Amino acid sequence: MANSNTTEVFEGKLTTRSRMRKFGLLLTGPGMLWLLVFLLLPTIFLLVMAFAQRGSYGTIDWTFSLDNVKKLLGYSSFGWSADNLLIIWRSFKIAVITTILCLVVGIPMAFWIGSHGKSMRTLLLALVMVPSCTNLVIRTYAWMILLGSQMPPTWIARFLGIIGENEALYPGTFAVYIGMVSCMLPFAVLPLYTSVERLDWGIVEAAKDLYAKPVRVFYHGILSQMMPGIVASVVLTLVPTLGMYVVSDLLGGAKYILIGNMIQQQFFGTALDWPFGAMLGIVLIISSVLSLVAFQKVGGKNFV
Amino acid sequence: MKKFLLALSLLAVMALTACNEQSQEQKAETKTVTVMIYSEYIDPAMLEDFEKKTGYKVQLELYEAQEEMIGKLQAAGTSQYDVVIASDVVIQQMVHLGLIAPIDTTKVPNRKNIAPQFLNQAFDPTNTYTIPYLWGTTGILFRGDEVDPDSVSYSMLFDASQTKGSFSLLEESRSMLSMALQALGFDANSVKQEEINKAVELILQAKKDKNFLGFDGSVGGKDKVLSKMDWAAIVFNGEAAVAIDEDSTLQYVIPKEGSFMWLDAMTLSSKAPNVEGAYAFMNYILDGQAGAQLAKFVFYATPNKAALEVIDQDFKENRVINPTESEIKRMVFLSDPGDAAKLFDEAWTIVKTR
Repeated sequence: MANSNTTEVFEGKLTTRSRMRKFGLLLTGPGMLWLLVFLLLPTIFLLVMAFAQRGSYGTIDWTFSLDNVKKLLGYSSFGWSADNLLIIWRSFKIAVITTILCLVVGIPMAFWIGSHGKSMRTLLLALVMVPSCTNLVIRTYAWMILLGSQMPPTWIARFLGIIGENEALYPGTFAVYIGMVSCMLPFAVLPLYTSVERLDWGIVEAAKDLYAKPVRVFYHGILSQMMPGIVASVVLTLVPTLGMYVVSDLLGGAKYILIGNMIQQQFFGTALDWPFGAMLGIVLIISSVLSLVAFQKVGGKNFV
Repeated sequence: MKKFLLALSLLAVMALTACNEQSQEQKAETKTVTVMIYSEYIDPAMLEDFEKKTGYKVQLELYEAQEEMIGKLQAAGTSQYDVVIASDVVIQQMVHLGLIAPIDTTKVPNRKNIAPQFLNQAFDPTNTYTIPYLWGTTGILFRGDEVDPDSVSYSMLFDASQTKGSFSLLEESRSMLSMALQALGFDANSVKQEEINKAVELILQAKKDKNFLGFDGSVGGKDKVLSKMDWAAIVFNGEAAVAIDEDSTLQYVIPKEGSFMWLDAMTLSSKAPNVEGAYAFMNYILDGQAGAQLAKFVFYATPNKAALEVIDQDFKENRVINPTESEIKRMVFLSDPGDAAKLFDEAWTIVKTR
């Protein structure tokens, strides 16, 4: 083993290992400090708080128990009910469907943008990003008006018999998904576009030369190459949608709550139960990490 | 571009320092009273008038929600504010958290102008922490012919055979559950589990109605009724008065089973830097002329007897803003639920899940 004081050549300069280590620490230090102060410590704090109790008037009573776990599983003053689990299930359902819709819309869009010349690509990408410059709530209000009962989209839907005579597209499931997809699409398209840009078309040609059917060409020749981009866009859409509740509240008529609403209720609503809010936050963190790990495993197995 | 940005940031810095200097100057000349209040909840002309009369300059700190106000008091510290306008339902919590201090009523002589119905209420039984500011009611705003205001029942919303169009319920757990409790004939302030359970079932039943559009805040509900998206919604009377002003085919009723009143009160921050100024401000608001000006500007009812004497007849006769005796009789103030808040939260989770 080399001693830490032996001189070595690095990047054309004579240096020692300990000096290199110090320099490395200097470079990574700020980032590590950031993660420590703004990620690790708050998460630990959240984890500890999750097992505390609600004191009177929303204060925190630092006696530790598993009560919040029980509450999470559905035990409340009203006896056991599946409501909390249903809320988590519903949040997942909306997040997964939104992510799938984003991919279904985003992949062809990425190819379409990629098929243009260089300057046109930049313009199209900019157009994808421009809506994000407007505040999310304002965009959502725009959808509320656009999908309201006095507007053309509703007339068309009524004419086609998709909805009843007195119904409107807003508020409802359709409006929620329109709002969610329009909000998340830019985040899905960007990584997809990057992987389209980097596609090695030689592999596609090779697959064709070997008489692969179109489906197999797409699956093995294109999709497998795009996997990193798809994983990235799933990460960027799934994680934020899991905790999102503004869009579903505004466009869905606030009829049903998601885990995001529930956390908000614990911290700022009538409940004022910070420990239970912390527990829900932990659940959200763990479930998004787990679903990503699972997705990467499954994706990795099938494609790489 | 770079030069432009540089110029812009320089300008911003200059503006900031200018602001600082200005506020320091103000502090040197006159003493300030810092008032924490909802946005658009006081007539700016009144602030000038107050300064002329007392020599105190008023600095407003605005908030949009009660939770935000409490959060600010906890984070920035109570020493940053003198007077805090707070709603009845959070008074007990604020006392418990040590955010507000008892008021020395001898320093507020105009306190005699408060109408008796606003004293000794559940939010402050001993009248120690609050001086009433404005008050209001909660009822149903709907589109239709004029009706006998004492005959309308909650069943117009909760009974699917009686709903005549899309309707929204109130997006606030405690308020909505207490109205459902009243619809069933229970006490609005009930914390009995089986009664709350029945209230939950009543709301769930309304949710199944195909006319149910969703839950909305008071402003959202008003907007939906005005734009004809909703036929009816639960709103506060101030919103209802504005809506009826715009569209006279709308009606506002306090259901015959009862409803709840709310009151915003002036409280004294527990570490108020200018206690004398705070009392001067409270005393000024309780003056008849000032009280009338305030009520007319904000479009809410005043708890100030002296103000009612000088306010114009039109305003006094506005049935939406000033409810009748029989309407007042069937309304209550919501008391602080204390630890039963948990019960309401759990009930609301059920309401919003199924």
